[in-house]
Amino acid sequence: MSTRLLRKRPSRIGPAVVVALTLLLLAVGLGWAGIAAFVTTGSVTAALAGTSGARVTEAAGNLHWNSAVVIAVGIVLALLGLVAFILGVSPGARRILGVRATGSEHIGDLEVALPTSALSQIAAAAADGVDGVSGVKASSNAKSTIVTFSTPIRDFEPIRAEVEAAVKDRFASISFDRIPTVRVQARRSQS
Amino acid sequence: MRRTAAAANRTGLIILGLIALLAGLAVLAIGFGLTASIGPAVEAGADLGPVASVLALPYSALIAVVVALILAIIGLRWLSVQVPRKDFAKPFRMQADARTGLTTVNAEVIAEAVAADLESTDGVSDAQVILRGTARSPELLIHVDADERADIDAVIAEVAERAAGNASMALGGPLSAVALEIGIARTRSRRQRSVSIQ
Repeated sequence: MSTRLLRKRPSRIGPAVVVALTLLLLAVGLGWAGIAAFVTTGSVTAALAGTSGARVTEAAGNLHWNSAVVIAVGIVLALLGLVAFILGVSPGARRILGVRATGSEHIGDLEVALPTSALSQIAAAAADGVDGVSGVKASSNAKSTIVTFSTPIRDFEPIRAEVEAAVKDRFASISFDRIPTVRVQARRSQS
Repeated sequence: MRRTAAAANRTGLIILGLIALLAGLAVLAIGFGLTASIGPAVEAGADLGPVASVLALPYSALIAVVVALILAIIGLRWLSVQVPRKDFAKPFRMQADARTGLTTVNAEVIAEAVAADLESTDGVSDAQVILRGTARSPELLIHVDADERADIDAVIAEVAERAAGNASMALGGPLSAVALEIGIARTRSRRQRSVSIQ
């Protein structure tokens, strides 16, 4: 099979919605101006600037290409364009981790994956089982997990080592294509 | 697991991004006097009057309305494809000989049965299943929510062996592809999943 069934990279829904809404806003503005010009002049040959055309051209006549406003607009437009272009071209962060699995005779192609959010939850649950841990937070990307736990104990180094061992053990029990690296940070909670 | 318009989104972002980038760079080039050699209208000190005079041309309102309609159609269409789709298979035709009648099975029905089968697996609390492809080469997309302490490898083996085996038996042939995504069930509070002794 050429295409994978599970999507590995983000599909840029957020930026696409923002750009589509901007297009719609532009459309509404242009349509509004056009129809307003039809109504005020009462003919199809109306100019967009309508009867107030003199005012628009006069305002534009007062603006120069090297004025701060025009240059600022140019910079903003170029930056937004660059951001959209980069969002379109760059593949984006991987959102799933591959897991090795042996297929069976009734499956042609087996693909197993764990989202990075699930990885964080598994790591947090493993750390939560260690004695002396009062709270856990974990964040992951496709290659690594950072576990931050809080503990009321002053000398937290032994607990940190125990948490790291627990999370690494848990990850080792899952046959990842590549086992994610684990980093553990301790924070002392007041109690 | 659901299908999104990733390719369309990226193409749209690249095209519109390039247009905005080039327009912005053109404005900057004129503003910083890089185009002064082309003509007096694009000198850094020139005013924007010639640009605005386009708006005073006859029929420009009509053109604006047409452009607005086109932009609105593109924007609405782009927005409408953002909802992730399940894209179930069309009903499977299971009969051997169409002259004696048709036997059709809805993909949703099989998917629901597979999901119910999966939910009886140890360590799995919830399952969503999408069936795509055809009756001869079905593709099964599975999302299971496993318990945070479940043996993930055992869950995978159970899904691949038992649940996929049952599905392939129901469909009467091997599954051409199976994709399994494993999520972790939302954690209940610590009190609910542990026993405390007083």
